[in-house]
Amino acid sequence: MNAHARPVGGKIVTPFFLVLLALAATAGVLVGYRLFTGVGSITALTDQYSWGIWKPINVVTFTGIGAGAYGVGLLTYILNNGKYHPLIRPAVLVGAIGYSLGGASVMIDLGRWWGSVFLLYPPWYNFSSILLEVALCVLTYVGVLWVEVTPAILDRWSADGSSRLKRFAARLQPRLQAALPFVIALAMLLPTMHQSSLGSLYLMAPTKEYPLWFTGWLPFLFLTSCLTMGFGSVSAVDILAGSVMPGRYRTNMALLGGIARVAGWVSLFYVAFRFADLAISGRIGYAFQRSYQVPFFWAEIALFTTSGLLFLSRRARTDRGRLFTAAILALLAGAIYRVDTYLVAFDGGPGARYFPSVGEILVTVGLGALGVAAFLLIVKKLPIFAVGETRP
Amino acid sequence: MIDRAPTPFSSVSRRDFLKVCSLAAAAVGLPASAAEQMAAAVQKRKPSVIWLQFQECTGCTESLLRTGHPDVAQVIFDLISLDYTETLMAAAGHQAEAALDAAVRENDGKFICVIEGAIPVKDDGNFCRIADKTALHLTQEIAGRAAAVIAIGSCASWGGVPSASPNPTGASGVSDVLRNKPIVNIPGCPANPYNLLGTVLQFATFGTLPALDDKGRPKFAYARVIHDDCPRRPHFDAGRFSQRYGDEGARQGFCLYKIGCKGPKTPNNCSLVPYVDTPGAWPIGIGAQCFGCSEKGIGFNLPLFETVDVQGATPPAMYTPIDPASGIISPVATGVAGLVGGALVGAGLAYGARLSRDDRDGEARDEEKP
Repeated sequence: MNAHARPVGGKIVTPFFLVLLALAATAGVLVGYRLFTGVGSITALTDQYSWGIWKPINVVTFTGIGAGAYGVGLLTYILNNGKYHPLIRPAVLVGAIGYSLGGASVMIDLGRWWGSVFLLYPPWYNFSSILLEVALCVLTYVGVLWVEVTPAILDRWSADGSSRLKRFAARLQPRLQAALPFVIALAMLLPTMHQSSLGSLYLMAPTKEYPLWFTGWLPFLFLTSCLTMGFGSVSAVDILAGSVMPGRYRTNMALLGGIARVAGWVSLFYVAFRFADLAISGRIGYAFQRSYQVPFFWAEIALFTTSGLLFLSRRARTDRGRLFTAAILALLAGAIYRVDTYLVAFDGGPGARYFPSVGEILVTVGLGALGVAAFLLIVKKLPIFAVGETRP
Repeated sequence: MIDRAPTPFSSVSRRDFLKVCSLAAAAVGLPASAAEQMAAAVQKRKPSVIWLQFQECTGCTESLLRTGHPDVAQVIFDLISLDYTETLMAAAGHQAEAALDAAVRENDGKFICVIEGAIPVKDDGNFCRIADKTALHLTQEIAGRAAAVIAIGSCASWGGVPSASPNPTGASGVSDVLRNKPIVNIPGCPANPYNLLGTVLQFATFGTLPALDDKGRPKFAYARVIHDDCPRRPHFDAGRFSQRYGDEGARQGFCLYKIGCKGPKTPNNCSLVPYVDTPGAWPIGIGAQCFGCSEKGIGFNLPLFETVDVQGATPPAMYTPIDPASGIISPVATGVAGLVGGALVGAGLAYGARLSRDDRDGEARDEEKP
């Protein structure tokens, strides 16, 4: 993919890395406890709220962050904009990690998790289930993303592996190159399917969803907002890489500026579409009612609008801070939209309420920390970033 | 039921007798094992029952005469000893008074006194006299010496139809004139005889009275309102109502709530235990609204077509999950969530601001250089 990418190198075990591992270990202990004692032991879930934050944050938001691979892939491969190529490897790595965490989260959230082995047994599939579509699609896509990461591994082996590894890499590389167009085609198709399905899931709750969120366009809105999240995560990662490795990795603001323009217009389109849908279906009045959901709606709109305008501002082309802020706000906007749809707008029934327990929050934080740790480890060992090219 | 021949008292076999006891136990919802106990108890000594009738129409007695499982002959000859009842006894005049006197004396403090009809209290109860004694006096004298008092019918329970406004005779229920006695109210107009039999047989067999609600009604029959178990309930839940007598909805058997059915306020088991063994022989069963006979202050008080408040708008099968105390919002969790979210967002924005400053400084330096 990128011939100039090199491992970042450097010390792996840093104090920050150890903190991440400690958080991940805490989550690991809690997950182990939960797997043996049932999902009620560490979560605040009830019969009315059987999906807590593990769904909208661990699954839907983590995969939304991972959708950078999808977004940049669309720009690079479908719109044939080869200049974005240097951003692909980091984006794919973030995607692979985000999706793996999301998939793992689904498993620990399953009431009878041991039954998930039957995902390998098609005769028992329930083909009218949206969740089955999501499960199969996400699992396949996790595989596809890691296949997309393998060129980096092979590059590393052929660069400084043992002679056997070199020979193995040399044999596999041409085959992988031949297969990649198909893998990439799959990598574009699958997220289109499941990112929209993550919205389709709430089509089944028309009477339980607050009308500001329930719309037949849920799948489309989820797909659109996953793009802004993906562009946000790609920009944020690239700016972070440039700022923590000054002199070794140079954030290409011209490149990110192109992405920012797309992200900005998609964000503003999302806001416009949201209001148009509400107005046409006659539900716009709900946005001005006195209800605890309404402030969440306006926060969502404000975040999408602000991040969109920041993305499009002229300063964002040169000012890394401005672009970074826009990216963070875009991630926050997508995350809030997802949490709103899954939890805030969802009415479990009279008397039912939900707020995540400390256990749930710690598992979410720990999984996020695990993802960051895995990312740090991999970029230090494998050629992901094009480092060492910039002249001081 | 129709070709039921009275069994000659002398020819009752043990087998037949046990059958009667099983029927009685089943009719009042006791387990089959209770039949054995019942038979044993009755063989020792049948409980003495004295039945007094005051301001009433004899409807409750008439309906008792029409029970089939067990029938009244079996009840009054095999299961209880009905020592005084003006409707059924052969004796009259002084003979009848002597029988009453004897029964009270022999079973002093042990007999069951069933009272049918309201008791007038105005003008010293002068409106109802039997053997020149007022109903008020009889109640206090005879029921006062009973082990337990059963007030059958709405009249004995709280006045019923004689107490309807303007209530010229001051008609009152037994519990209004008699204190310090266990009183079981079996309201109904007329009361379902099986609710009486269940109470009498439980007392005869176990010496206990059934659990009562706040208005003295046995919970085994009066714990749920008509509306909860109404055969027309699905129509209520689906919003299909009869709007007036004889309309299309009435012909379709829709819910009668809008023409004044008092089912939502009236506790009784009409739909569960068919009145005198005839399914459908009750107001709602024949397409008339429930008029609330077994609830104090409704029957004979509210206008027939007035609607009542619906206490449980939700179908009873959903009572348990409809309002569960569910979901814990722990203050620690909210704190942790706030800290984590705040730290992530705050750090991101702070870092963005720092990068902006750096870039501006860099630009400024670049501009200075040339």
